[in-house]
Amino acid sequence: MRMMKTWCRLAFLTAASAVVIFPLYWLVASSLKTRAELFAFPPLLFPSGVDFSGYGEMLRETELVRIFANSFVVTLSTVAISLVMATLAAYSLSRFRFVGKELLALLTLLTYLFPPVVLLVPMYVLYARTGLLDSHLGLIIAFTTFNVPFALWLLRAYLASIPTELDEAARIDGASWIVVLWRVILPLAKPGLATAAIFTFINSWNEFMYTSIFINDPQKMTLPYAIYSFMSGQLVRWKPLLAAGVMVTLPIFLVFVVFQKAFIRGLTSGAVKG
Amino acid sequence: MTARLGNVRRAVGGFLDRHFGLIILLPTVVFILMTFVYPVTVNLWLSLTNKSLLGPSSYIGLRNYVEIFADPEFATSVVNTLVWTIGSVGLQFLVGLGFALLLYGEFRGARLFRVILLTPWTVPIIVLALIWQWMLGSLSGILPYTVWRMGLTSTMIAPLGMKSMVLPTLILIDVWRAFPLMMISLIAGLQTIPQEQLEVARLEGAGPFQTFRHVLWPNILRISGMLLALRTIWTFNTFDRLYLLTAGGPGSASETLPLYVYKKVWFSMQVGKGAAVSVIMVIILSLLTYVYIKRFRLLKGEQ
Repeated sequence: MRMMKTWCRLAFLTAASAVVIFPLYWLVASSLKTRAELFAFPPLLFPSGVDFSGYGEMLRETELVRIFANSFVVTLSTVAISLVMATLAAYSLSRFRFVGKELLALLTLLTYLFPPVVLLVPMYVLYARTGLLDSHLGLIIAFTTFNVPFALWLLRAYLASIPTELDEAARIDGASWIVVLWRVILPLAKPGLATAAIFTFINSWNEFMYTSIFINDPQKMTLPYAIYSFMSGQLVRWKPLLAAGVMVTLPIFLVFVVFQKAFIRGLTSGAVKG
Repeated sequence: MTARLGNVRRAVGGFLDRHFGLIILLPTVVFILMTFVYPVTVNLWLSLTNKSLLGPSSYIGLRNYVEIFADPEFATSVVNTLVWTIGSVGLQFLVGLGFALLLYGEFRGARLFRVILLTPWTVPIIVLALIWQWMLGSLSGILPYTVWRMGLTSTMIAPLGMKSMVLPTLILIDVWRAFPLMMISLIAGLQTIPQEQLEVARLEGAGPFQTFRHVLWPNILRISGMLLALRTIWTFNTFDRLYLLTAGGPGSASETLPLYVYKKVWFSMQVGKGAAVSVIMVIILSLLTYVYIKRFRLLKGEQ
C-alpha cells in the first residue's frame, strides 16, 4: 500500500515535471531544427539533426555580445548596490532602536505597493533634466529603487532570525559594530543574501518597461528590449529568435543551478518566518 | 602629528560606532527619498494638471479623475486587472500548494523534482513571451495543433488573438511562470512544522484531508497570507509579460491598469491622466493589502 503510494506520487511528479518543462524543451528543440522542419506540418517533436545556423545568424546580425555585456553591467551593478544598501539598512532595523524606526520600516514597505509604472513619468522628467536618459547609470538607479525594498524586507527577516547574543558577545570582546556586521553577521547571513541577490538579479535582468522608455541608443540596449525589437519587425524571423531565446536563458539558468541550494535555504529560514 | 591624526581617527571611529545604527540606515533613506518620495509627490501633483508630454501644463483640479471614471476603457481595464490578478494569484497558489504537499519532506528524488519544477521561474520574461508566442501560433504552434487533434477545437486557434480566450491564456502562462515560487516557499513553510504534531495526527488516525485541515494548514496560514499579499501586489503591477505577449489586445481585451497608464502617457501623451490613473491604482492596491493584513493578521507580532 505504502509502496503503491510512493510510486503513484513519483509517476505523477514525473508527468507533471514533463509538462512544466515542455515549453523549454520546445524552445531548445525548435532552435536546432532546420528552417523546413521549423514550419513542418504537423509539428515535429524532435529535430532530425542539429542545425546551429540560427545561432550564427543571431550572433552575426546583432551585437548580441555587446548587449549581453550591457545587461550584465546593469544587472550586476544593481545587485551589488541593492544588496549593500539593503543589508546595512536591514541590520540597522533589526538591531538598533531609535525614534521613527517603525515609520521608516513602514515607508520602505509602502514603496513596494507602488506600481513601477507610477514612477515612470516623474523619473523620466527627472532624468531628462539631469542627463540620465540613455545611460546605464540611470537604469541602475531605477532598478535599485524597485529592488531595495524587497531585498530589505527579506534580509530584515533573515537577520532577525540570527540571535543578538552573537552581536553582544562580539561587542563585549571590544569589536566595533562594523566588525560585528562584517565578521559575525554577514557570514551567517549568506543564504539570505543569496536569496535577495537572485531575486534582484532576475528582476533586473528582465526589466523591460523602464529600459524601453529610458534607452534609445541601440549601443546601450539591454537584452529584453533588443530581442523585443528583433521580434516586433515586419516579418518575425523565428529561427535566429529561438536561438537567441536559448542563449539568453542559459546564463540565468546556470546562475540558478549553482545557487539554488542557498536560494532555497534563504527562503526557508528568512522570508518565511518574518 | 601622527599622534594627532591618530586622535582624529579614533574620534571619527568612535563617532561612527556610537551612531552606527543611524549611519548605515542613512544611504537607503536618502535614496528612497530621492528616487521614490520625490517622484511620487510629483506624480500626485501631475494628476491634478493637464500636463501632456509636450508643452506646458496648468492646474485643473480633479478633472482628470472625473474624465477617467467616465472612460469605458478605464472600466474595462479595472475589470481585466481584477480578473488577471485574482485568477493568476489564486491558481498559482493552488498549483503551488498542490506540488508543495507532494514534495515536502525528504524522499528519493525530492530535491531533483524541486529544481526541475523551479525552472520556469528562471526563464527571462522576454523569452517567456517568445516561447509562448511560438507555441501558440496558429500556423505552426504545437499547442493549437494538439488541441485541434484532440478534437477540442474544430480548427487550429490562436488564443492570444481571441477576445474570449486571451485573458485566461495569459493567466495560465503566468501561473506556469509563477507557481514555482509559491511551491518552494510553501515547502519551506511545511518543513518547519514540528514532527510531533504530524505524529499525533497519525496516531489519532487522521486521514490526509483531516491532517491537512487541522495540522498543516494552520501552520502555513501566515506564510500563505504573506505570499498571497506579495504576489497580489506583483501581479497587479505586472507590465512586461502582458505588454510583450499581447500589448493589451486584441482591442483592449487584455488591457490591465499598468498598460492603460503606459498607453495614456506614451501613446496619447496625456501625462496628467496617466498620473491620475496610477494614483487610483495605488489606492486599489492599498485596499487589497489592507484586506490581506486583516484576514491573515500579518502585522500582529513578529512571529
